[in-house]
Amino acid sequence: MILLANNLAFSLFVPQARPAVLAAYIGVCLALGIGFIFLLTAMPTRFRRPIVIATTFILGLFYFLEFMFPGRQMAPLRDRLAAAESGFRTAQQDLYAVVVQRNDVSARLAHAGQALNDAARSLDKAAEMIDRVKPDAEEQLRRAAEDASRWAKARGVPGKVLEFDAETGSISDIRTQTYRKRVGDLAKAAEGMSDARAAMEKAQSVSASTPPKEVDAIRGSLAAGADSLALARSNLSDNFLSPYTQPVGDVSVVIGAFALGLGIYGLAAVHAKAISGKRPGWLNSLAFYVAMIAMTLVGFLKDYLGKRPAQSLSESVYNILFYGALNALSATMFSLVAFYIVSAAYRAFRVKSGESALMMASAFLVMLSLVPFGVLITSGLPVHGWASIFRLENIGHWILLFPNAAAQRGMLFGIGVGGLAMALRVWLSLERGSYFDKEM
Amino acid sequence: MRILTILDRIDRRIVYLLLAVVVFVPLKWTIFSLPLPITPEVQSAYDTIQNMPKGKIAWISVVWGPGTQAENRTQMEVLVRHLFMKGVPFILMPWDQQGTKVAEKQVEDLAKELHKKEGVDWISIGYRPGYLMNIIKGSIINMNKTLGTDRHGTPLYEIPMTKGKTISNVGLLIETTPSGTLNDWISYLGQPLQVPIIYCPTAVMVPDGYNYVDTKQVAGMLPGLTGAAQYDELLHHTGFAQRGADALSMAHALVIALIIVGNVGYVLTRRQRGSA
Repeated sequence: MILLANNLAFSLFVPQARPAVLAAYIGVCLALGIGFIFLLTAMPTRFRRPIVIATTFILGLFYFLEFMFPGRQMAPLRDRLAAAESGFRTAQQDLYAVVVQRNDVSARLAHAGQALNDAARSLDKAAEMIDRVKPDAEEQLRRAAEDASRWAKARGVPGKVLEFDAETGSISDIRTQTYRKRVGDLAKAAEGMSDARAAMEKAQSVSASTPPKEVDAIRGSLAAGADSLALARSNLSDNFLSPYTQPVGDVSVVIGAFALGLGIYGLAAVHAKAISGKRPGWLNSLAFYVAMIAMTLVGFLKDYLGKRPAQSLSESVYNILFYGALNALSATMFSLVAFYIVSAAYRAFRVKSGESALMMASAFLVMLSLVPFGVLITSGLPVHGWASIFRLENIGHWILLFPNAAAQRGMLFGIGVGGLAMALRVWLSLERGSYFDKEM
Repeated sequence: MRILTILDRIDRRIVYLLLAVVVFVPLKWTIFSLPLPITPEVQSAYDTIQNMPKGKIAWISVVWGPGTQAENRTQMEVLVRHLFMKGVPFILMPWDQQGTKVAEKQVEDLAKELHKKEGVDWISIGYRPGYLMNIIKGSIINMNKTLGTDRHGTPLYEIPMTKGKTISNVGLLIETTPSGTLNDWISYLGQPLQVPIIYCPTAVMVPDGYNYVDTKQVAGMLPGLTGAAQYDELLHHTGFAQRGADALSMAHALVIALIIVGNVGYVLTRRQRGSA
């Protein structure tokens, strides 16, 4: 029975499957998915709630654990790379102080040298670990590839499920891919470390007499070295859950696709009720059906009629509907906002307090600085020198780059913390939703 | 008293009509052609393309639809013009169903004008639904496999422009967007792989964009339609962007004038009520 199911699944999954089989498979999956959604919707709330809570919690727990669990072999290596990266960043900050402030140059250089020495020791240990781990990973890859090939040969199929690489023409399984990624990541880590080491050697040669321009260039190389170590470190994050992140990610994409279908179903149901009951505005509901069916039909016909005369007709109709109607309507809807904004600004923007006066002044300055008309007003002022700061474009730029950026960052921090709290509420199913009659 | 009431309560239909006139006239006829100073973020965007090493390709992300095409399409147009002029091949990556057709048509028109060929100088992968993060991460492992085929269904590994290319050949990302998609590009492409990003937001998103300009997480930015007009000036080209910037100038001037008129009416009416 298991063998039958296995063979059936395999015959459906392989890319060479016949179109009819593939179409049947897609049809069955679609029917199952729709059936599941209907079942969930028809189910009483007291049963529906635990199912949704469990699904949300388990999926959230998967990502949480995958993120929190360290890689079994990779964790110590990642720690060493993180230590080296930290040394690079410290040295880079010291060199920045040397270039910009020119104070305590010798102390800063000594501190940078110390940080780089620590980083060098961490890099040496990381290199030793890579040398130790790499043969094991290569051996595991070889065994996985052999197993896959044996499995495929025994069943007379070209590979063991289920990834087809169009570029190389090969098929490999998840296990082989995992080990191949690990071997590749180790090679990339070694490459990143070699780049970082080259930057480090240059930085170790910096002295008090090195020209600031050169120090600045070396500082840039150190930053790039730290970035390549960070990239190498983030690639080495595999633990026992990591191989399953892609399939679990696919599940979320499929659920998203079903949500789209559910949305269309909901919309169609609401408008069908409006038409059948001849409610006020039912003609608009009819327009919805006509538009949806016409666009879908013409869209399909255009692509699937082949090179027949009817195709050029459906293409013309499609162009009229798409460019002539849909695009124009979308642009019009958005353009109407401009009229409301101008009217609202005129009606609501009244100077009633000091704060509103300040806001208006800054709004005027930024609005004028962003358009040629505003720039024209102060175009008589010199482009360089102290008087140039009074040119409108410079004032506007300063407002956007400093006070605005500071306020935006403050808001971003607040949004981040709020988002975290919200994510926790969703994960733990504490969020109230229209799908449930009360808080779960 | 009557004048004060008029100032304080101009009929909204008059406001709409005034706006329609001040936007339509400069768009239809080039009567102003006002000077445009080049801001540092636009200059930096220009320099990034100008200094791109040979052999690199660019990714152009299209997140917009017809609603914001006045800004985003114009931004894309000036950047595509520069890429074509400079001979930098690019992959168009549309994430919006409606925007896909509009963006592809725009590139087709420019390619025709500048005698460029699809498959050699540019390709489009067609509309792609899906999570940006997954696509970027997949492309880091295998770009041609993740992106799959172009809009005509030809595999990327068969197209001359992308044959044998990997993520390391991507030397630039251009993000044209009316929504907050920049963070994903910075987190998964810009920062880890040091790929320069040119950010093209709509005007309402510009204040947020200056955070990333300040931290140099984006290499350059085209702030709304004005940014596109500045870029057009750098290319010594006159197109819709400059007419659009003139229309925007007039619209801003109208808004400021209306706010001033409204406030004068408001203050004087209040003073009169106080004395009565």
